[in-house]
Amino acid sequence: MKHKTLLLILFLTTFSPDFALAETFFDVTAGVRRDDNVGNSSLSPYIFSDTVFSTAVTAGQTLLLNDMDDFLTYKFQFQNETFYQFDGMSNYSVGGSLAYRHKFGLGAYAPWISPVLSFDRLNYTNSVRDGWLQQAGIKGGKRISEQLDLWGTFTFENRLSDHTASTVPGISGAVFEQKNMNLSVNTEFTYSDSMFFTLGYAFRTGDVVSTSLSRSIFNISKAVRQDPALGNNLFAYKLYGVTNILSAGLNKAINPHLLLGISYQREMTQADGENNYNKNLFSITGSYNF
Amino acid sequence: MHNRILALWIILFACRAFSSSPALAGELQTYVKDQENKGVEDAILLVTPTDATKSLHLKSPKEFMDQIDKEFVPHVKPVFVGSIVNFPNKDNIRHHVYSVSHTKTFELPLYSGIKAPPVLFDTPGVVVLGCNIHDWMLGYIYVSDTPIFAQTKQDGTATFTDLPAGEYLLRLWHPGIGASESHNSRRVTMGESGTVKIEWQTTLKPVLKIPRTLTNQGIRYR
Repeated sequence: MKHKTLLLILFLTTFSPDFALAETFFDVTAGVRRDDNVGNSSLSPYIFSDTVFSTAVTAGQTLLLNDMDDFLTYKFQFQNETFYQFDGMSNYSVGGSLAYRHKFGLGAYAPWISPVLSFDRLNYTNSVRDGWLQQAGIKGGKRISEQLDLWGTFTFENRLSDHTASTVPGISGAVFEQKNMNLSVNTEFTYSDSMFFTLGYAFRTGDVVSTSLSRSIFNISKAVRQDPALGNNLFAYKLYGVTNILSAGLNKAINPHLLLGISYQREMTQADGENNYNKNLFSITGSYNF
Repeated sequence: MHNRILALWIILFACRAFSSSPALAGELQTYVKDQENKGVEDAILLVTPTDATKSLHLKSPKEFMDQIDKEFVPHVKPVFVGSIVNFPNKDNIRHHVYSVSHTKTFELPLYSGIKAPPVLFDTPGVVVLGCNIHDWMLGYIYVSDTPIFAQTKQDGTATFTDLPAGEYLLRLWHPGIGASESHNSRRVTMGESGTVKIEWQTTLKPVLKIPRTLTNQGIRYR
């Protein structure tokens, strides 16, 4: 199926008469993030924090399907994350996405809707988390004024793991096979022509993975597996959980191509067995768009 | 004999009439600053003789508003009413230029190069330009009802030369003022020669532009 999608994209881009006039983009992003709960643990001895250095390269094209309203964007992405302390969590991913976008009218204030499909291959230094990530979602939004932009997303996420065999007798080992749904609302507030704020809220329901030593949640876990990426004697548990996420960011455009940003994200998860955990993420990023 | 005298008189009268006022002209130097005393770039100054009989009626020239690196160049363009403006696309992608302003509503669907037909601007006022593909693209065409106008440079200055002696109404417009020119118009009297200097302080609102960035990224659970 993935190969068919790729072939379709290649066919469209190669044989489209407007190929030369399609809009090509190439973005490079680098950043550093402080994560105060890498393993999503609720137990204080196993709440580990780490600093993560990330880079991402995205390249793609937007095809204008008609004179006005319809756009098709395909892109490929390479992303790398290097954990300063927990090297086993360091990873890279390679993937792509296909998005159709329809605008209901002319100009920047017209509402729009965009179904999106994406897939990524995930490779970690410690292979326990290796697998595939598939996402299908729909975005929609409307710019209210020059200052205020609103958009929302609904995404279904399916993560497939390379390692599903049971390692603890009687309990599934497919910890990193996860399904979940995300709903988010986002706003962007322009302060000046080079500075804007973002605020977002997301609600996530589905599988979460928490890593700790405790064996008391074995019986309520959907799956269990040792997690050597965070510690040789630690276990990763798959549980059902609900996460509320709040995020805020400040972005400054240095020039039309370079954007710097700082952001904060707080995740509050309530999982089965009162395995509730919080996570705070502070990020600094720089993006260059060629 | 009478006919010869009459012809000579007509020639002498015509020579005098055509050789009179243009030599008597002055220079008007303007400086526009904002509420923070900084020079204002891209302000449009409009000069109209208060005596309507002295108004000039010139042929409107062909004008150009380029699109370069996904921006309108220049950002602000003053044109005389009746001008025809071309919108050459100098990017290697397509643009879809439009305006929904009351002064001029038009649309140039997706095009590249110089394929778009020119647009006639036949009503005075402000025309705000956008691109349907690149939301951040913002440009202004100010359609002037007088052929005597100037645009301030980065330092806030603009100069009018060869203004015949007389009284004029001076008006000001800038994107930070809004849809219509400033109500604070001024009267300026030009002598037969010399320079008149005008310093004009105006209050401008910040001109906000949609950010040219990677937006709509949303939140990612980690």
